[in-house]
Amino acid sequence: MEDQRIVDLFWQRDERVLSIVRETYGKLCRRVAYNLLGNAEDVEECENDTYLAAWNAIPPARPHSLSAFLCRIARHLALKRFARRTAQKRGGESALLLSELREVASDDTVEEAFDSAHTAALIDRFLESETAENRWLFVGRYWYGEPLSALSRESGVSEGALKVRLHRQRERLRDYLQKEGVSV
Amino acid sequence: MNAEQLLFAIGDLSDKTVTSATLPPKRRVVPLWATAAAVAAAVAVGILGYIGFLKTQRQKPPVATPTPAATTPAPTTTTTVWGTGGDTDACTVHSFEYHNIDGYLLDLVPQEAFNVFIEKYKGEDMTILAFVDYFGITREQFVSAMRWEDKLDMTALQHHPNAPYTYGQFVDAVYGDDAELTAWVFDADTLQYPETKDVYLFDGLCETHQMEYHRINGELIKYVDEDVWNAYLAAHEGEEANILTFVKFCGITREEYIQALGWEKALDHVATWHGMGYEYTCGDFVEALYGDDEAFREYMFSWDVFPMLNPTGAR
Repeated sequence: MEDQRIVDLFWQRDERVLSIVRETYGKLCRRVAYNLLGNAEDVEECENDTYLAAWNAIPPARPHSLSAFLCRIARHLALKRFARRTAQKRGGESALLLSELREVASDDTVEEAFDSAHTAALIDRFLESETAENRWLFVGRYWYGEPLSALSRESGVSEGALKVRLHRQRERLRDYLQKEGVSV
Repeated sequence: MNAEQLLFAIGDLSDKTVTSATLPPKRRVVPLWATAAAVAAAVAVGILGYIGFLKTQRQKPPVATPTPAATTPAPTTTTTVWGTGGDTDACTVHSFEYHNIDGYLLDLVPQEAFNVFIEKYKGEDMTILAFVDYFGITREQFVSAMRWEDKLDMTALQHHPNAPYTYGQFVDAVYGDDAELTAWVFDADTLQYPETKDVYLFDGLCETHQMEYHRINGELIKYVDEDVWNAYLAAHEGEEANILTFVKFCGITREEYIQALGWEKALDHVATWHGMGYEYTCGDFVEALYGDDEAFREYMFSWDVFPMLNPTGAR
């Protein structure tokens, strides 16, 4: 079923849309959440929360890309859940992603008025200047939280080579953000 | 900015960036020997697969008979099985739950056996009752699989925001002898959405308040006289049109509010179907509306309770 038709069902408050969304995008949402959490039970809760969040958000929201909309919610919920459980040393890629991103933004840096949307817009622009392969790699790794092994399988490039590529990309991103006045 | 903030900020990348980030087609040169090896391997796999298929055909009994789960529980290891909503044509006689087999229950039975089941039970016959009967799923297995052990006395919010029955009553409807209860629980009208729908009063997303601040539940609208509702709408717009001014304008007390929404037994529930849910309970929301703690009220109606859809992006 087309995204806009599914969104219409949300607007009509048709409960069947929840099972349609689950069938259509469930696997994707679970994958995003699992990448970040690495725990089946948490993923299940995270997925259900995602649908309910979507149910409550639409209307008034009318997302153009339902998959991106749902993944964004799943990703955020997973990260929040991860943050809550960091003390318990839970698995998942989140800890690794954070340690990698510390190369770009140190935890010592405290910016009181952090503007997430502005930073995201800058990263959008940074990615526009990257090659298609590197864009795919960055979004796969840091948006979807895919493990390197999965990215390696998909691209046919060794994990080692991907690590090097990501490292260079993070350096470029750090330089870019600094140049744009972001405190990192 | 620290790494955690950066990780959250990446979540705000535009849809365009996310959806267009695809791996370009590979331009690798495949050596001839590799192609030949791949073809040989495919042929070998095909032959072996066909031999295996013939063997299984010989071992199969002439008529496929399903094996009840009671004798062969064999829970599947897959976690990718989802609930089924029955046949696609909506049944107007029964509720969605009557023809729905939850994913948790599907996990109890092997996929192949389930395929046999849905071949046998189609349309109106494909029901939750037929499912548990066919696979011999006991009441205890059912409750355990659904994770309802501690929720039997709770309103079945999982089914409906204003579900009039508890999880326990739903289980009774599936397993009990009370035909009247079963008919009521699975009646299409029992879980019908109210005719009066929720009304969102703000034009677009409010940057200051989360959505529930500007949304009036249909049950509340139904609760007040039409004249009062119209008068409220005429006198309030923009930021002024919100649940706080609504209950005040209409003189709805805390008790009346709870009663109108049918939340008497749901105050400790996470407000799954209400508001952005899962970060607070129904009771929290009532407290935010009627309590004296201004800071709590401010928090509850701000985007802090559900920052992921914050239109400003600020966290």
